[in-house]
Amino acid sequence: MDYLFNATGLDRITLWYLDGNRIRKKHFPNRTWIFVTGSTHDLEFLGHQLDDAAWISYDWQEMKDIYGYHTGIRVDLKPSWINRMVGAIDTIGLGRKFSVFNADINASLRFLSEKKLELFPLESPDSFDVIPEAVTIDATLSGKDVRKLYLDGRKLDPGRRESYAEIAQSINESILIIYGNYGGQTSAILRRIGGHGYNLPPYRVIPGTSFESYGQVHYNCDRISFGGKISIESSSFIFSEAGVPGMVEMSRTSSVPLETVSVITPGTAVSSMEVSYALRNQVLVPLYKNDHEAEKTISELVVMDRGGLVLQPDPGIYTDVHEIDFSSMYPSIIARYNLSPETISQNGSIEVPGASYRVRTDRRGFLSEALSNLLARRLYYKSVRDLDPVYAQRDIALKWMLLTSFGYTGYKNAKFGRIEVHEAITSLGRWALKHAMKLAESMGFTVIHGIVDSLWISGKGDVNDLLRRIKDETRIDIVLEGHYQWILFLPSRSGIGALNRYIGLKTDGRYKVRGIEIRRRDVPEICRKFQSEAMEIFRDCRTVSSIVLMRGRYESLKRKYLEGMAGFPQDYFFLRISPSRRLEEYRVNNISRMVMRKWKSMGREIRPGETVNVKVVNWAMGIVEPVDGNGEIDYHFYTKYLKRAFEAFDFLLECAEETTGSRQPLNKGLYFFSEN
Amino acid sequence: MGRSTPTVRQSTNSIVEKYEWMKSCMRSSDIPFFEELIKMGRKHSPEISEAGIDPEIGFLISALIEILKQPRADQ
Repeated sequence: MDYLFNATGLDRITLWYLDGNRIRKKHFPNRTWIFVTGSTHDLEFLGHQLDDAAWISYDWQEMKDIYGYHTGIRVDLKPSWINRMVGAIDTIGLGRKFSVFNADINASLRFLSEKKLELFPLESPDSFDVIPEAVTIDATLSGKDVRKLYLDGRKLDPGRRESYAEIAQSINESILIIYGNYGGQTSAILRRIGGHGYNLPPYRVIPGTSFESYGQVHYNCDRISFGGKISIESSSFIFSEAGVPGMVEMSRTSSVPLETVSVITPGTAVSSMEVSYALRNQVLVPLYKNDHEAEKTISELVVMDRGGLVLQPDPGIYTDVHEIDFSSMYPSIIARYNLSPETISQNGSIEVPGASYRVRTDRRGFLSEALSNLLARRLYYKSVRDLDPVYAQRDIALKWMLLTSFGYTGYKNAKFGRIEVHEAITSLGRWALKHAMKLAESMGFTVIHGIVDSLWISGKGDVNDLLRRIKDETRIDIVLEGHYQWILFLPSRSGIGALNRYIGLKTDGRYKVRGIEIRRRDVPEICRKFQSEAMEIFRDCRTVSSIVLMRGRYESLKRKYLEGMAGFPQDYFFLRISPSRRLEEYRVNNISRMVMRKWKSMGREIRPGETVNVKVVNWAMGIVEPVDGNGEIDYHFYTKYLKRAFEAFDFLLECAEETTGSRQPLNKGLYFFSEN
Repeated sequence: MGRSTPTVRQSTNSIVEKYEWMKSCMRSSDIPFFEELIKMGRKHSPEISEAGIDPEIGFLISALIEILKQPRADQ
């Protein structure tokens, strides 16, 4: 049976079907339209203007957007003409008289959605995908030379030309090319293939870019797109998070082709999913939104402009703790409370705590309906994720889409976003967490900590009964995320409880840790190795008193790391450095500048946001080396990091000893970790 | 996108920064108590935020709650 797995094109759409191992492409002429609304007078004027261009066909129609029906002009045209037509309409309407719809939608997404076609269709949610034949290419470079070469995980000899012939053949024969190019390795391989005279499909290189998001600088490396293939760069966010099955799930739900999925954010995918949902239901998609934020008083703004509720834990060790989590809290609120730009009103039936507006329930909200399907899908795969890794990867992809669906409601350019929806979501979220907290207390639990959609509680109440009541009263699914034998909440540098730094040992023997070095990417591997071994020491400690008994083993471990540093392999000392600026913009000779200068001396420029692995050879002299270099290591420099990695476990033992009375009470209020 | 007003935690940080100047002319023996008070003042930021009250008053209420709790905790 033909299996649709890709769509490309603009004025002519090509649908790619998989028939066994063969690709069959079907071509379709693609004619489309845009819709223009405005006052009758202005539209009539526009109609006269269009009459003068005999090659343009249009008619008057009534069409709906999320707010209701509009009378306007539907202009039929080729997708490649849309931009010019919108420019002309904008000029005729002096940039303010007309609203244009369905004018900036990806051509293949629109074609698929309007024809009600689905990429990677599944017979049932449990079915598995048909993935086209794939090849994986990677290498490591030393300067510009290929040092190690991999084809489908198999090591090839980079010095032999036959290795490059084999890679070229695999690229030619495969449909899906997964390549690593974060460091330019595949570009180097392709140069070598070309140099040896082997044939490759036509390809183009899309230069990498640095960009800033949420205050952090990131870097997208050079991408390679092979003609007639689907090319995926392996450092792509969604590929590294959810693999090919997750990307396929994202492609299926958003109607975005697989190669495009690999380069967009989950937010863009969810936005595309909403657009696709609108097209499938004949709902117009605005080119520019016209639903500005409603007027507010300063006090209303202060009350409503808030995020999730985050409690403050007291640093220390707690035993017999349950962590309960609302499942996909914000998307659930959107779905269950009918939140959508058009349902925000002065006289709806759902009250939004603290807001002057309410939510209407007399009609189903567009956003609520669109996300309901995604939410149901995610909750299903979450429930079966342990059965197969493919379900787990689909779950991860859907989780990311749902996570970003909330943020997009407050994004000014989101097609179906509105700031009041964003405010209502967080307001209802705070209410739900508070309500859950009060219910827990009324049922005999003590609330230890809470972050947005999670609560940590201890006590002798019936936790299943509590979950049932919270779900009934908030209408949001809530599950038991973990039952901890003990959990340690760590202090922040200001001395009070850190919101997201803890080590918890669950009753099933698994750890859940957040915020300590083992979870951080900006510390050397030696810190992670130490903490990993420390966790093993305490893994069998079912009680606080058994933690105390591990003091001796723990101190030996610390000594082993402090005194035996020179015996550890070189890769324990790698540091991931990601400069946030250009070399000339650094005024202080910090580690980022040292690394950039070193790389520059080797003939390679590091771009802002790009990550490289280095080791520090001599901190005082500012000498750093790439990880493939051998030689000296500045152990003194690494001692500082290592001692910081001790702190969390030192605190664990001190708290345990205080609890069991084997040491003087800690003044945790004045317990400060060392400053950076 | 993003918040246009500071969070109570951010406001509390500004308050603490302002009070920290006191330490420069404070007896060394008093400083630990001062720091304990600052910690107490920070502790109830979530509730202050939720109630939408003035962060500076909230900071004092927070410290007072913790001071009142202290004798009971010592028992």
